[in-house]
Amino acid sequence: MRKLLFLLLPFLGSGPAMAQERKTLEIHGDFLIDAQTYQEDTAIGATDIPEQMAMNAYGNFNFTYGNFYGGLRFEAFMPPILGYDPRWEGFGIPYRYFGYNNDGLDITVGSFYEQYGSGMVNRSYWEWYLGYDTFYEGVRVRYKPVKGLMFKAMVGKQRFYWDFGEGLVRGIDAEIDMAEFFPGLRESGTGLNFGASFVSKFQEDQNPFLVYPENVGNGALRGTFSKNGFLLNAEYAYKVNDPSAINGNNYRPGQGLLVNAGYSKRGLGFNAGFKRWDNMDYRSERSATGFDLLINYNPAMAKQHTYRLATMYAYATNPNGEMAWQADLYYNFKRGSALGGKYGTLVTINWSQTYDIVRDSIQPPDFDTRKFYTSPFMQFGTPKWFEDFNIEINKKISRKTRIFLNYLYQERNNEVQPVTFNGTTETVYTNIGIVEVEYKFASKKVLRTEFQYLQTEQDFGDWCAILSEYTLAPHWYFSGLWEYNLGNPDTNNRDHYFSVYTGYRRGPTNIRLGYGRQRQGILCVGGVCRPVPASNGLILSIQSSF
Amino acid sequence: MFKITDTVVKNNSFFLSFLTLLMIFSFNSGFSQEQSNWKLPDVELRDLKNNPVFGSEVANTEGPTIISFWATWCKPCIQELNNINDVYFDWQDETGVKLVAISIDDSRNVPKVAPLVNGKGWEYDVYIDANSDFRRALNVQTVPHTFLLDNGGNIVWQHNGYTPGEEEDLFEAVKKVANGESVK
Repeated sequence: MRKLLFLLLPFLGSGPAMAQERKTLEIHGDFLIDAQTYQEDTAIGATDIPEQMAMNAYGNFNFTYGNFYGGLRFEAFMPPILGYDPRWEGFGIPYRYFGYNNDGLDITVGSFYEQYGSGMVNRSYWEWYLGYDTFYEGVRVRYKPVKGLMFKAMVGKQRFYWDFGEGLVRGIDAEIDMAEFFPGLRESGTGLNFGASFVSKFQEDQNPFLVYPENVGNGALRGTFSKNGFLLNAEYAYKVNDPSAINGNNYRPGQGLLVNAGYSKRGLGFNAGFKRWDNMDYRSERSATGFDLLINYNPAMAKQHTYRLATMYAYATNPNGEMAWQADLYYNFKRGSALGGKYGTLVTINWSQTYDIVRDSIQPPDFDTRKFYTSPFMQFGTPKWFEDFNIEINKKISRKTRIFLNYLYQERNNEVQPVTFNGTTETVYTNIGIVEVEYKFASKKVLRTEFQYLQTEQDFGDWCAILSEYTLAPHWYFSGLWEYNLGNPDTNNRDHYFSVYTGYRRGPTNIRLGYGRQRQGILCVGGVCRPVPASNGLILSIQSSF
Repeated sequence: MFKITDTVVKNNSFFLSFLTLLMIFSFNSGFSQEQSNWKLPDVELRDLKNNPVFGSEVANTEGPTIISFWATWCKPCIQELNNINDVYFDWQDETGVKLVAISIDDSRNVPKVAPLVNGKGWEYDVYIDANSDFRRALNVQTVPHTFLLDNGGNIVWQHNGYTPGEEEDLFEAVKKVANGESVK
């Protein structure tokens, strides 16, 4: 019967009332396959695997037909590429959804991703390269009764590898754009909007020793003000007691504050940010750790680097407590000026510091309330988790040549989320210099080379790297990477890492083949990091969409 | 673990059969490969003042549209948008094209988008897709990824990746689309 209904579905919307616009079924999607072989290489600590080859792959299909939409995703980890959680092993269609969107009302059943505000109380998302997926399985409604007003509501359980988490998550969100209701604001060029959200999770209490709260609420207020190139955005969140594995069964409520203020005009951009994060880790199961079952998002207050050595000691957010600030400046020296030269010069400066919160422990510990500390709201604590000062100068020298000069200073504490090679918890202090030169031989033949050097007294000492990439647009590219741990205190471990890649691109298709040694490292996307083990082998990746 | 996987597959058999049926019907009902009717999905985006804007509202109404997915941490993306910015007025003059830049930066990097866009002096319409909803609805895997829409707002061309010089190919396609020619 159910099938029969769906069989009729394509005809339902094709009555005379809808005849003015030809409706077609649109099916689109994308594929991605990453395969890697593993050889043992004892010098760098690379192992082989019994299967010899690992593969992560997915295929997405989405359709739309008039106001209906739907889709599914097939995934295969056969077995997962090393570094991904082994619990991914398997294959199936975990993600599938149907929806209907008409006249401001949008209803989705099945799998969906959702974010309220900046994500401090609710953000489920998918980051394939991290093996991070927290979609909700349930029902979501979004309703826009008039322009400038928006309501959202959802109920769902979260994806947990090939299963779902135990906890039930319910959320509501409302947002108003004041300029739609007060025309005076619009006329004066002022933007003002407010939002409020509330999320509650439910998980049964089966603990024989502690009385766990079964429903845990987490609410937030937010607002954005803008005028004449100035923008202020703030969100405050408060979570009731939420004892968990991450916070050591602490019953202290959580609080978070995120503020960003920026100003920009042509040729100049500035932004300053502040974050307080106190016991705001929020998951749909109390025992969950790592990337598992996170309901909210803790954005790192630090620049996201892409140069190879600049990401060696990257920051990973600390779920229990952070006090952080960050400033960004973009300045363009005009062409023709002394520092701008013939083509102009763009300077980018970023500086950030992240500390722990202050914790005044309650003495003697109160095991009735189990609130283990108090914390003054606006004080920076110790230790310093991370600091990053970086400057980039981007300059076009001639019609054919462009250079990028980078200097970075980083301090990375390793007590909580260590990224050191030697496994110690010492703080690593690094100075990094990077020169990138891009040379255009002809209109579509480009050679790009990065020279990178990382200096440090800690961990494995100095590193250098050269990455060179030759592109024959529009289809072919070739690249080679050499990394050398020249400063390793153990002279027998001053290893070289070579890898080469070639790729072919055409339209939305990208095929890449590579071979070589990859060093152990950390892959970070959006403040969440995944360790990548050392490996030696062949890599094939294919991606396409249609 | 395999038991769980099996149930997931079983649960989905009905979705699969549904999709297959839809496909059959689409061909029966004269779905034509020639004429694209693929529109931008009606997904919520944010403008640089954090106000909601819907995907269906961002396309050019009087000419071709380029949709360019990018991020503040993506160097080739910024390079592509820089290089197009240098010739953007000429492109607009000749074809009436509009470029819409969709940033997939998440809330960690969203505050950096407006300062970067203005710092570079880009003249584009810029929107933020902070949880990648728009990106997923258009099956964009990596950035930069570019779509070209015809005068009627139908997606007729797409491309992944960028190296300097490729904007010339894009402009060739824009010119064809502006003249109502096929870019297949």
